[in-house]
Amino acid sequence: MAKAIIVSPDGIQHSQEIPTPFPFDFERDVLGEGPFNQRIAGALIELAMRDTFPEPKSNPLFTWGTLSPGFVMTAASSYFILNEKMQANAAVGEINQVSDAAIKERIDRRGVLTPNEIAEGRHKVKRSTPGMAR
Amino acid sequence: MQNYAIHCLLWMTRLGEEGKLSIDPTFPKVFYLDTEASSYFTLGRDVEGNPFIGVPQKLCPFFTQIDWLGVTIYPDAGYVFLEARDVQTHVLHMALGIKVRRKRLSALHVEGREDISKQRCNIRVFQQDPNSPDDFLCADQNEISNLSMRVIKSIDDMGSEMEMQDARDMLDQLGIDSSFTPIKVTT
Repeated sequence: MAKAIIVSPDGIQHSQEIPTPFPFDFERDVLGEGPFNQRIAGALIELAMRDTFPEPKSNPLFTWGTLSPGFVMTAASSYFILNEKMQANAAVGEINQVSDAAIKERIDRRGVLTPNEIAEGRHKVKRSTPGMAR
Repeated sequence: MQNYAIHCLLWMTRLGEEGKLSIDPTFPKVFYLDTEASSYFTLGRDVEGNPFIGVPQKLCPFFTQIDWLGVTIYPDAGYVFLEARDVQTHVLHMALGIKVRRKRLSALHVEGREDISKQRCNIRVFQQDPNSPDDFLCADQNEISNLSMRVIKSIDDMGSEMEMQDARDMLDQLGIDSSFTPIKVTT
């Protein structure tokens, strides 16, 4: 049987079976970076996000027109906190998805982070044990 | 789920902040990842010779929940685009370009030896330890299957003139250039 081939698009390549993709960690590289550029986010919403992710007809988590930076960071942070808890007891291969309703419930209970709280890093997820699997 | 939208927005915004994402001025629904951001992904062939694009697990679940409907290869620019389109109308919502060395494009399609209209591309998820990049595991099964493939000669082939003009008008209204930098208005 033929071997699988895997290549890195534009980076280092040691062999045709094992490339070395550039390491990426959402929590560290995206969530951990603090407040984000609202001008860029606004442009992306208008150019791509509204069409790619249309608002649901009922019970939306948010509307594109009223989305605030505080809500974005709160929702993203809530996802990672809830995800850590949900995956903790998941059987191997069984991944529980974090629903919008669960995020909404957490935000309703705890509120939306303020710009100062985001700047202080309160959105960051504290990890007890590092590891490659969530 | 809308929390996927939030994660996608945050990810692309960070890329824009770091200069790793740019907009095509001809068709501003087309986005280009730079070399580093493109290297978050992998390309390949499975044991049956079917092409696939590998997506890091850390970009899931949002990345694989987008309505990716096609893969377009733009050899002259050295880019492979994942196209998110309306499922019914096929109007382009967003095309995300992964920069690929020309020689490595053969991982997806070999020009002159394969009929791209008969090829189908899949999306697979891989896992990598951020602290030990060589610890690499690629899934055996496809997360998304049977994406249609094509080769283009120009970005003009990505959509209709009306779609492109609408997107350019939007970019003008936003007052930014292709690198998300505000355009200075001269009077």
